[in-house]
Amino acid sequence: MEKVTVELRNEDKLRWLRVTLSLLESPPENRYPVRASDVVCEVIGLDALAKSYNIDNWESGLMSGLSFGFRRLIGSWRAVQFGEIRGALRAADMEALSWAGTIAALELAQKDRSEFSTPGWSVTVSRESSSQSPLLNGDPRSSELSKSL
Amino acid sequence: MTEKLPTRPPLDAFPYQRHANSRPFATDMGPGVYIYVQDENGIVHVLAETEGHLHPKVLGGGTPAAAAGGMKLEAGGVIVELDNYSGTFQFGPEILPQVREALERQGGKVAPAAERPFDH
Repeated sequence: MEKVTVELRNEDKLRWLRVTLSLLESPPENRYPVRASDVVCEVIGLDALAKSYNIDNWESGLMSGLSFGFRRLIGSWRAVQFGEIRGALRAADMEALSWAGTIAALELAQKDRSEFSTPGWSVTVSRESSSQSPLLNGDPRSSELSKSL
Repeated sequence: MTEKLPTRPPLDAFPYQRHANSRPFATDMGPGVYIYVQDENGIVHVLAETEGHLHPKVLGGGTPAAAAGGMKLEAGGVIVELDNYSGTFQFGPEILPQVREALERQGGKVAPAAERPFDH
């Protein structure tokens, strides 16, 4: 199973997020993204509205970004599973979660993301395939890629 | 339409301003890919999908919606794809008939096989 972890860090060094997503092996047609059975959502809210949010709220931004990535930039939908949403965010940072979703979609589809910008946030991506150990097969895509956009 | 439709609030409750390019659906819109949000009065508002996470900005202000999703429009107001996918609102496919009806009321033509339901 292809799995991608996307981390965004704001230049203020306070706000950050990390999400992990996987492609489902037998994707049902036109299915909303689903949560892994052991999904983790640990987001520290940095303002009153963000403090009131739960996993339903945070994953909504991720879902928006996944849709833009798969359906608009790539052109074909893929069924996806969330494993992790962590971070420290303000409510207005939902857009950064959306960016993480779009980056994850591009990475899972092995598409170039160099044109996709995240103003004010640096991006780190790591990926793994459960069928082969990334450390053993020497796949350069399995190494950690870091890029500030 | 006098009766208000049932609505649900956005999961992103931040009070964004309404996007400057958001407008009620009309047949003079150019071909392209759009997102839509239906308000409580049944009006379908649309916005070109030029970036992600636009649904909360179609109506703005944390306004609840009666339906939301995406569409692909061809010339002359012909909708060739219509879906219910929205991370912000997450309606099921049951909203598609009311959206089809509203789009036709606003002058659009929805192709017979346009509907693409997303399920949870």
